[in-house]
Amino acid sequence: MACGQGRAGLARVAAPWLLLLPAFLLMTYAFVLPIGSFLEYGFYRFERGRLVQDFTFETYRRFLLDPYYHAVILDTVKVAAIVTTIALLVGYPLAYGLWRLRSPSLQRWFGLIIFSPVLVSVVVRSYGWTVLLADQGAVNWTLMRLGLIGEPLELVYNLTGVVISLSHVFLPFVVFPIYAAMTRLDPSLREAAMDLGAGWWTTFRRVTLPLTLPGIVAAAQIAFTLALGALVTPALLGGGRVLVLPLQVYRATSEINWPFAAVGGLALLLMALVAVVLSNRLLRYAEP
Amino acid sequence: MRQGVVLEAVSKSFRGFRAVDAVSFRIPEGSFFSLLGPSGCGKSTTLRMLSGFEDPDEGRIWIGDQAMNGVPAYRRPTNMVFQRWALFPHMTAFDNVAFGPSVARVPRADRRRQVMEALDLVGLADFAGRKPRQLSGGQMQRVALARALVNKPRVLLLDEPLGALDLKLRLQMQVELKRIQASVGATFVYVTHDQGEALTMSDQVAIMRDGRIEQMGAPHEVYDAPATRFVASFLGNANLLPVSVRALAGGRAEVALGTLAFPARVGQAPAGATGVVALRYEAVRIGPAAQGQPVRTRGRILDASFSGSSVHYLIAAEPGFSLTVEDRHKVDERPWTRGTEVDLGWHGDAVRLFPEAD
Repeated sequence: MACGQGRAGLARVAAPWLLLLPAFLLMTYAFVLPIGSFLEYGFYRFERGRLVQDFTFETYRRFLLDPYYHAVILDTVKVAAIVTTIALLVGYPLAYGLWRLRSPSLQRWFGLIIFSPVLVSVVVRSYGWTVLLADQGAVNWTLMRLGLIGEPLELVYNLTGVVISLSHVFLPFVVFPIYAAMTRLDPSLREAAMDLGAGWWTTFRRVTLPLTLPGIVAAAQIAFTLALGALVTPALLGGGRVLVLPLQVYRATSEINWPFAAVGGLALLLMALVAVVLSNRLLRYAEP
Repeated sequence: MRQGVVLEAVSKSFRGFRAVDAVSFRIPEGSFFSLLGPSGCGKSTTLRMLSGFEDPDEGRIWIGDQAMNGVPAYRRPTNMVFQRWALFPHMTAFDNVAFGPSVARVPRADRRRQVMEALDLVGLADFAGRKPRQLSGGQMQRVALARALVNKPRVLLLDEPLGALDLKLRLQMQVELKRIQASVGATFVYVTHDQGEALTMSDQVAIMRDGRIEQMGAPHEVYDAPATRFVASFLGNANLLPVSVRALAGGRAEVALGTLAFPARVGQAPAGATGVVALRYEAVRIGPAAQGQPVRTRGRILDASFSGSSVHYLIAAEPGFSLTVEDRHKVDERPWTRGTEVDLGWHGDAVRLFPEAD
């Protein structure tokens, strides 16, 4: 009996670890080890198209001191920040509207529509945007016909095009975490606020917004980290003028400049980490 | 000039379902009024129309001399205590209570004093800094009460606020609520499906069913003189026994149950020669106590269940029907055992006659 209990106890302790094991193995093989070799390669030297395996801070020094890379890092963070902000500004009202819809079937349909950008391949989507945003494209044509602008806006092959396309595709990643946070809200909380004299805006500002903050933070983290790592969209819609870090890393790898690719990759990882840690601090405003 | 709360033929439908059907009543200013009924009877909808969360399809609602139709919740002189209290989980008890005053732009110092007074009233001044998850159910209930009362509402609406508490706490809160109502002097409108709660606390009870008010009156009135068969069976415990009606005149009737004939008061006159009488469990006397009663018979005990303060007996009466009797338990008295033959007796005034079909 005691033995049986011991076995059951052991199984209870071991079961979660066993279930986590595949993820652990995968993470070790596909994440921890590569990070290790990242660190290692970062200290090598790249000279005249060849990799030299010695120990030097040369790549780090160049990366941190060269104004060109400062501009690249700034651009990368700027794109990610603008995309996150726009996606949140568009996504939050969208999630709110979806939440307030009374008909569940309409909710399903709108949910599918919001999800649709993800269904289209990134290459197809990017070329689609170049067509729409071009000087003779639908957007400029409409704006000119309406007399809002005299000559076409430069909407593509620059930061604007990249931001528009990325904000579009990240929308579902922003809407659904926020929407989920809203559906978890006890509906009587809004009624309680209104009962206590609060109109729509006060209710939103003091009850709905703080309580959906976890959804906003999750959405922002997803959008920001995805935008940091975006490669295809800046490459196709940036017209060579949006020199974000992933593009630099990609170029470095094709030149087999492993040291620079490694340092750039680590920088991206660090930026994402900092963003996640900083945004998590916001959560205390929503703490129960 | 109007006083209190008045509903005039108020109706509300949801997708063709008539949740509240031409309900009218008047609640005197400063009284404790209960809407009592089973779930789905329309009592909560009625309360939500008073709070402004729903607008009536027909009829008018008055609070004092103000018409309430079309007035949104945040402009009404009412405050609500919600079923699951609906405390803001990200705010402390203090901030929860301070929500109303801060929305009303009460200056900070006054606000602080008002909030602490309200928390003091419900005995939670020491818990001001706690968040809802750090409070027990009873404490959350009190915070919800303080949060509503701090706004000095003319009418306080309570939607089954004690439903989620355990029995002991519920009984304690019933006393508390009466005390608080006496000290703040607001009109309390209390929605519940618990008849004990409604009878204990209310000055007036309205019993609702299928969107209509079946009966309204002081607790002892509706208990002693139920107007419908539904009210007779919903309030307290009553035997509903099918009878034949021998004579019917004015408020009195002569009925027969098998071979036993006895008088009854008429709750609602049956159309035909048959009807149903309601006879409360506790109105039937058993054993020696049956001696002096005007209606007498005998029966055999089929089952006895002891519940502390009382004993319930299921009895097969000699005229050929069975009924349940509640006998007060006295110290050192052994309950009757199964199979015992006992005397039974009751007073004609305790019996009320209703039509067979409900």
